[in-house]
Amino acid sequence: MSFVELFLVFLKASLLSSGGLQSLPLLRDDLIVQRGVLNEGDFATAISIGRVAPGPNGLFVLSVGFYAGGIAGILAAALAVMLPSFLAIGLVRAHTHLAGRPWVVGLTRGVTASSVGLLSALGYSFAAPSVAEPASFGIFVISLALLLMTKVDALLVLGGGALVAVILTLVGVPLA
Amino acid sequence: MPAWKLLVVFSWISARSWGGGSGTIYAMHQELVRRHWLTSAQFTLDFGLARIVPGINLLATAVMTGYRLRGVPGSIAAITGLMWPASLITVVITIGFAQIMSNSIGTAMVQGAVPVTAALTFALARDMAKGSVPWKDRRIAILMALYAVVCFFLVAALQVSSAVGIIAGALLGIVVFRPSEQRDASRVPPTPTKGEGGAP
Repeated sequence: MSFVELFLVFLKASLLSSGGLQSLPLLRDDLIVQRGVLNEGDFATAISIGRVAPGPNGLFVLSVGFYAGGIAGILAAALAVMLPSFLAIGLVRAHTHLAGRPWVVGLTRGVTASSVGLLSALGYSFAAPSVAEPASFGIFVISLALLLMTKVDALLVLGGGALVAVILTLVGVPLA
Repeated sequence: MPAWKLLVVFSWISARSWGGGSGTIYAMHQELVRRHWLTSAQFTLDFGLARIVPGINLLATAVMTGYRLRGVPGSIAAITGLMWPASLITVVITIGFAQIMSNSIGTAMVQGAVPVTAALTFALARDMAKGSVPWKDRRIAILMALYAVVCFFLVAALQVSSAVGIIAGALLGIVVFRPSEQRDASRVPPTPTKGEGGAP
């Protein structure tokens, strides 16, 4: 596939989705079903990489881009995910222009309350499958306590969780 | 604030945003609030509004922050900074992925990071609630907490799209969470309660 063709496929998926993983079915349809450029295995691997690598989950599209078109594919995917984000400027301008009006204060509070609810739902979606084993549940509870009650750096907690998991695996304790 | 500074700080956030989307939001919130570039309330608002923008919400959040701090050049600097280190690491991992996952140590590290990611997300929700709810206005604070719980159930249990949760919250907010008229008559123009969002 050419650079432009790949870019358009990624741009369509980006424009028609909201949130990292929602572009997945659209890309799957274009790249596997319609064009046969990739297979299901490529997608599964790309999603796993998106979970392991830093940055937003939606960056799994860079791996998809790599499998579909090498370095040019990565660039096509990166450009396509960045462009729609600039639509957000309109929201900031509108909000700044109207800030202070009672209905905007109300709207802001509504969006804020929703954000807190959404984040909790996201946390739940991670926690539900990962705390089935006592060892994983222990890692969850201890890291939550550290994050809520101390000022310890989040990256240290993440590294600590990974280290504990490696030690537990070496001594034969199941994690998942 | 020069755009290059935004580029540097967002690159730093990107490089340390392990733990997927939650790790990234956590790193952004912590770094931006610590530097007093945004209040926790402004960040929470942008994070919510970004859900209405198509594509990857966190990239839209970065564009909003960059724009608030330094206009269009700032938004380009912020999104570029947030993209490149994470992208570079993603590409490197893509190339070496088969080796990582065929190794039991690699798998264990990933399995150990998932519960921490869950904890990070809950901790962030607590920080956002703490910094952006007008706690002095008891009635509004209780109603907001109630909607946060409703939104949690809509998305977690009923699989409602998060954009729907945000739009419903915004509409409900216009009707229910707006400051009461009598109180506002004494302070013109109405200002957001301390600790809430608005223009920086």
